[in-house]
Amino acid sequence: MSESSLLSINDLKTYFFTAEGVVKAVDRVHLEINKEEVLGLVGESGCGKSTLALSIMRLIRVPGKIVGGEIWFEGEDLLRKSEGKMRAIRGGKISMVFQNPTSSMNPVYTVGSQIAEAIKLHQDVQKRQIKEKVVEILHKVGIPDPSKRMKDYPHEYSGGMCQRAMTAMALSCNPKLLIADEPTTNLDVTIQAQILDLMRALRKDFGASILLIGHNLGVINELCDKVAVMYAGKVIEYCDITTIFKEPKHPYTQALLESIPRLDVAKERLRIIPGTVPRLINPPTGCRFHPRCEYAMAVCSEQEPTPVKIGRGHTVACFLYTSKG
Amino acid sequence: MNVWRVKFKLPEKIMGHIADKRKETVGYPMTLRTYIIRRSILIIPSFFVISLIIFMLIHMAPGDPTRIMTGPRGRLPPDVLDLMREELGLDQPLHIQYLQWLGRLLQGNFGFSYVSYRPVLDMIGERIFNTIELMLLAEIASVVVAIILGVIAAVKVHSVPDVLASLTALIGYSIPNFWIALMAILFFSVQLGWLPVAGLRSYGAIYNSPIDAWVDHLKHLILPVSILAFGWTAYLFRMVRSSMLDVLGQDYITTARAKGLKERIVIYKHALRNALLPIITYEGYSIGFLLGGAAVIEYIFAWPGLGMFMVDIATWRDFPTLMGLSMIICLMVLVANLCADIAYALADPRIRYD
Amino acid sequence: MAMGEPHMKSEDETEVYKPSMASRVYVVWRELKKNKLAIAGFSIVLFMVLIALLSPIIAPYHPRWQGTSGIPPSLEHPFGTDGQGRDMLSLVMHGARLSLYVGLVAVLIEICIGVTTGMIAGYFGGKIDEIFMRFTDLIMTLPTFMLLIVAVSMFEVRNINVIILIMGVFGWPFMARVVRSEFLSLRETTFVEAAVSMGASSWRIIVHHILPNTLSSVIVLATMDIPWYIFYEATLTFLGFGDPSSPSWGVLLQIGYYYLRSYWWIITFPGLALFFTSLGFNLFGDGLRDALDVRARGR
Repeated sequence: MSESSLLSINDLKTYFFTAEGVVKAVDRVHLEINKEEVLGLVGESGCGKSTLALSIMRLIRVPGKIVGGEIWFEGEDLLRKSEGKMRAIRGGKISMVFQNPTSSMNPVYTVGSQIAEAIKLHQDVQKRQIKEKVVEILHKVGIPDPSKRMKDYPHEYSGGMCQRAMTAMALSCNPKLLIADEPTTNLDVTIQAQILDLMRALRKDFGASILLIGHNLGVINELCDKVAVMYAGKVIEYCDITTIFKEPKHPYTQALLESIPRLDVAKERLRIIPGTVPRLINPPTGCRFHPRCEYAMAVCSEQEPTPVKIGRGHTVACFLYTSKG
Repeated sequence: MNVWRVKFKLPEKIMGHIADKRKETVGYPMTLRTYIIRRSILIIPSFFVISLIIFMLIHMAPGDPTRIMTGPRGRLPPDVLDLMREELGLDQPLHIQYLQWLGRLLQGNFGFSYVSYRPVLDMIGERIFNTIELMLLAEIASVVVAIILGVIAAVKVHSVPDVLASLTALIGYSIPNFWIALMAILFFSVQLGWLPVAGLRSYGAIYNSPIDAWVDHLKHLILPVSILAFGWTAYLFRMVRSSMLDVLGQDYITTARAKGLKERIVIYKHALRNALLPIITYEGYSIGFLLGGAAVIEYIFAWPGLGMFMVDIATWRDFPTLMGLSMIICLMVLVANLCADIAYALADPRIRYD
Repeated sequence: MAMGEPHMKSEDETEVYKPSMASRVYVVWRELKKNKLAIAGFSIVLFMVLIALLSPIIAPYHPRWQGTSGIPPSLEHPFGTDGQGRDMLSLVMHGARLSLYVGLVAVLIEICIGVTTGMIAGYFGGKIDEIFMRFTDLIMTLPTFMLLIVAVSMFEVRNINVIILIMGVFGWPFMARVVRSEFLSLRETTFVEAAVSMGASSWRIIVHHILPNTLSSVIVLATMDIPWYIFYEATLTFLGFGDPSSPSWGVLLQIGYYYLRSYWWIITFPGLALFFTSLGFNLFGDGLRDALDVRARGR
């Protein structure tokens, strides 16, 4: 853990204990987010990204449970903190923006009151000042006529505006880390662009780190400094944004990039990755990607590859590189 | 039969459609005031429709009411019967009868009992308070119990208290109310002697003080109110539980937790407020339900209210009173539902725009 | 999975396939088996139906046989005898026939009227639907039981079939609402759109495509309505508005009320039977709804 590291996840395990078996949604994940850095977390649906995000916030509920690992934040392990202290961090030092903005706000309370609730919780301010702060933060996220609109209800906001308001709520207490779980997935493309612009601007304003979760590499590219790729509950590659596009090392990442339809290169067929994402109740032995990997070797089905450093700040979990390591 | 049998957690779309007033909102923006006015005005056509229904119900039986009233072995000579018919206006064609009756209704004349010759309104006035007392207490009891237990069951879903409560609710829902009333009387009153058997207060009792009288009355209230509330509580409990479970799975609850709020606040401020919205609609239906229950409970407990009155006059086939009483009861229900709808509109900001 | 494109949620599209009736029933049955309470409910229902069907054969005494009156429950007469010496067990068994008959027929009437009206309102929408909604809304709020009393009492001659008819007629709004809401949502699905674009007539779409998909809701609702009709008939009879010549449980309960203080068993056992049957149908209906729900939602 270095000086510039803000959040450090070590060996995190989050399992779901269901009637059909144990789902290992997050299985021994290592991740680091540095200060004032935007980390993108990429992966298909069901690979465990959201679970990872919720684990950081310790919002995992029955039947899920964080069964092991450490999450270091500001010199303390979040997993060992008491619930009370964790509540102080939630929304205060680490906050989260969710996927469905319109349904993520309580429909029976005004937007302003919900933001005020967050402010009241984490900051020591007078009643009058709270109102000013709400207006200020709504203005910062680009909501027109904030003093009037704060009295509106969520159903009176459009999707994009809802997301802005959610972002306002998340940023209202100046968090050090903002976790954005697929914030633009359910929005129109044009609104998507606006929200990303917003986040870029806010990042500069607030100096916060962002963990941006998504499955759209285009979106990730817009905003992130570094990228981590997840597959079936594990982080399989981690490097900075230019490298991931120029020199993806893990076979999965490569296949992913090749399956994006491109307008500038003539292609007959899209590359598809054969097979399907494994169910996490009985994941494949060894490397979880090996059944679908064209470079699979004997060792891939026997042991799980540990992440290896193969360049500056570039780690891959693949046996192709372990021997070279 | 109506909502009386609204099932426990129906598939979402069905329950949602019954209770979700949002989907029935007009497409254009309107203020709360407009909504209230519109909704209140709706009472008028409803009133007419109900009067038509009641009139048809009474007159759909074959034969004319005089024969019905005097029975198949009627001893009255035919000319007396003719006089009766003329007096009651039964010699007119049906639609004229209806309009005449309707006219009288609108003037406030709810008819005269053919058995006692007393105005229907008077007889109702004597009894209405007793029924209201029963129903009000039953309502309060059921709402309080159902909400408390429902929330606990939903928050601790699938735990032992939840399973027990849900099972008890299902059993309570299946028990025939008059049967359990009689069993309760047999047990508590006859066997144990703890509670009085029937009536408003002990017959011919002399009280030392008003408090004694009050306590006596209270003892007479316990069984009828409990049995009356029982079925509705069971049903409402399941509704609350299911609604809470629904709400607790919503995204905004996760957001609330992610803000760092205490779990207690998440449940009571954020979740419950939303979960209670459909409950308001169901409560509107509860009046109809409880009235039905009141009929049989009052009968068993000799409670002189509208329910027992209805059974009595139906037994005597006193049809003018039947018509009058039915109209009054339906009006009561209409007004109660109006209040419930308005309450819902007040509570749910999504139902009106500005 | 292609990356770089907005991910389309496929949960909104209702995928309809038409497997054979047998396989559908099997899937539901398998799901049902996992739910112990539902199985219990089903067993109870089955038990009562068997008793109802076989009562003339298995009842220990003829219902009109009269022995000593007022015998409390004993080995010879497990449910005791009534005021006229008839064996209660046999009476209860025979009562099952009539009570179940009442429930079944009333529900059938409810289904006929309810499904038809709901279908029309839900499919054609617009003005028809609006009137329908207002009307059913109104009816649903009214105190049905009281109106039932009013309706039934005006008939000079008490006939159980008339009672059943009236009950069924009172019951359609709820079924209709459920069917209507299903129709409304199914109408918007793509498979209906496809059928329309292929030139299918309205009638065919309604009956052939949409109706089968509403079947599950209708069945669940019907199952849970049966105990209510049995209950209503019993209550009406208990209050004196029933048909004394048709020996349903209601009649027994009415007799039992008369003998309440002296022979407590006369009212206890028929009531228990009613309760038991109600419980069975409710448990089963609950489980049925859960099982059908899962299938519709997919896993």
